[in-house]
Amino acid sequence: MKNFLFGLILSFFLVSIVLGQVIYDKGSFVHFTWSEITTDIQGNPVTEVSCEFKLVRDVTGETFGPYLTNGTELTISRPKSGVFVIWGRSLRYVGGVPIYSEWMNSLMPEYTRLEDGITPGQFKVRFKPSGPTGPIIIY
Amino acid sequence: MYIKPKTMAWGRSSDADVVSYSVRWAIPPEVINYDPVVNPGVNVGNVVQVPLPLTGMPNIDGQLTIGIVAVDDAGNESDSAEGTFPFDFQPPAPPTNLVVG
Repeated sequence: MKNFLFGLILSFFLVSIVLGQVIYDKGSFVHFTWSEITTDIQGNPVTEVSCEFKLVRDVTGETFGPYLTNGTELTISRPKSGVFVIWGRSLRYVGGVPIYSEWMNSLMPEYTRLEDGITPGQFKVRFKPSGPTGPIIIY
Repeated sequence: MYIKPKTMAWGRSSDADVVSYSVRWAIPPEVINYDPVVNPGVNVGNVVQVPLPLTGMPNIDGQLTIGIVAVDDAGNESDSAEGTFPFDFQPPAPPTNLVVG
């Protein structure tokens, strides 16, 4: 089933590198895209494939989602501050029953591409906490 | 040695996940290093004002740049609020020529 999502392409901005993983800093949302899925794992043509994604937060393991779409792009609003791994899988209905692919995630370079859309790599998404507000006052 | 404290105050982060604030500093023209490994700063807790000087601050009579970041429950740091202020943490010299008559 892994090949079901092969070719996932995700594009982001602003890069820093931590332990070989790319961290993409995002503001109030993250937007990503992937390749259209047109075949099943045996290479047979399929149609009406949907995808669902979720964000899993580092350290706390909190999960946000799943976010479901029939398209090949998705925008997810910042659920809370933190560093997140993106998990995704596809599904299609056979006889009214959903059939899911295996989960892939943004740390699996066989399913991901870095910002250039070509280079396989591992990445996470970071939403920084909101900073202190107002001026610093000394008295 | 007694150094008259000052108070530093700032506005609270709008994020409910923020559990503390970290304060860092540098003496101009040096800039603050926000690398949490190289310069973790002083965790002052979930407060919006602290007495100065903080532990580890230099006893300077001059400008000091101070940066404050919010830290969430997973240890992620926000962008900083930063300012440069004049301080005088230098105590006067002790009395001299003390004579008992």
